[in-house]
Amino acid sequence: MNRKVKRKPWHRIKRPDYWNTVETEHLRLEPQSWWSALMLERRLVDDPEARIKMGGSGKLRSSLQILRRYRGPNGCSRHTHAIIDKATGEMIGFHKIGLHNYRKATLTIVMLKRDKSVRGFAKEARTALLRHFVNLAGVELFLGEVNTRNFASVQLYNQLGFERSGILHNLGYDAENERVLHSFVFELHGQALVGFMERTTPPGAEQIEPKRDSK
Amino acid sequence: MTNLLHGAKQIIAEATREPLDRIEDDAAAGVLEPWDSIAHVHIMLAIEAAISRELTPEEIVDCMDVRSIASVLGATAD
Repeated sequence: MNRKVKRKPWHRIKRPDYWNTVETEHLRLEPQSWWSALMLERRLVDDPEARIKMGGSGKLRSSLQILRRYRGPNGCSRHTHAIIDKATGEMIGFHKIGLHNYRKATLTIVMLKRDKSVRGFAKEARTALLRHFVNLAGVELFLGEVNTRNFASVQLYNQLGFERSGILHNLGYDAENERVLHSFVFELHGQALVGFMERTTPPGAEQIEPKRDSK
Repeated sequence: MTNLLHGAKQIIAEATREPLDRIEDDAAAGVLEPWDSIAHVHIMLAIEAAISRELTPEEIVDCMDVRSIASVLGATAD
């Protein structure tokens, strides 16, 4: 009797290595549990500037509203890493990555500290995590959506080699500045991703082939 | 065009706190070291102040080097 073996889709596979801490020159990127990631999101909601950038409005949300919309790390398709400055031990932000079918990943980074002392840390954190997920899970396409007025993030995507693939118009309204909000869509895949991996390989390190254990 | 390049360099010099003569014609984000994300925000806001309007999404993506900033300043001056 032929029984069809049902395989888990790629983004639903739990890999123990997802829980490894990623170390960079200046940072420690620690994977967060469902609860600790929720506490990080709570800190984001306390930051009015971040509220406007992330949600499109400065509206304060209640704890219940946050909980209803919250989809925390699950060990397979959703991951949150706390960005910790090695020198001070301080948590300066967090990075979220969502894995989707067909080897696609979506990205979000939140820097809670924004001054000269954390200069270049967002780029360092994102570079390390993109490499981590390419090596570990074999991500083939990274997708980022960023508010067009978020100049720092736009510059970060450009520096990392992402290509702008489009604009999403009229996604929100910033009542404080009376401005309609649009978003850029940035993508990193194909030759651009290969180039990124080559550019960011640490000297002496060997390039690990992405795993291809499922579709 | 020379004036526009000079204007663009002046904006970058002020935002990055670099001497004007150290800003080359081919200076760009990611190439000029002090042109980091914080400096980039200052550059974008300074351009908007100079042209007295908000940058369009296309201009925001394009303004990553001296020449493109000069062309945005020039397009608004025309």
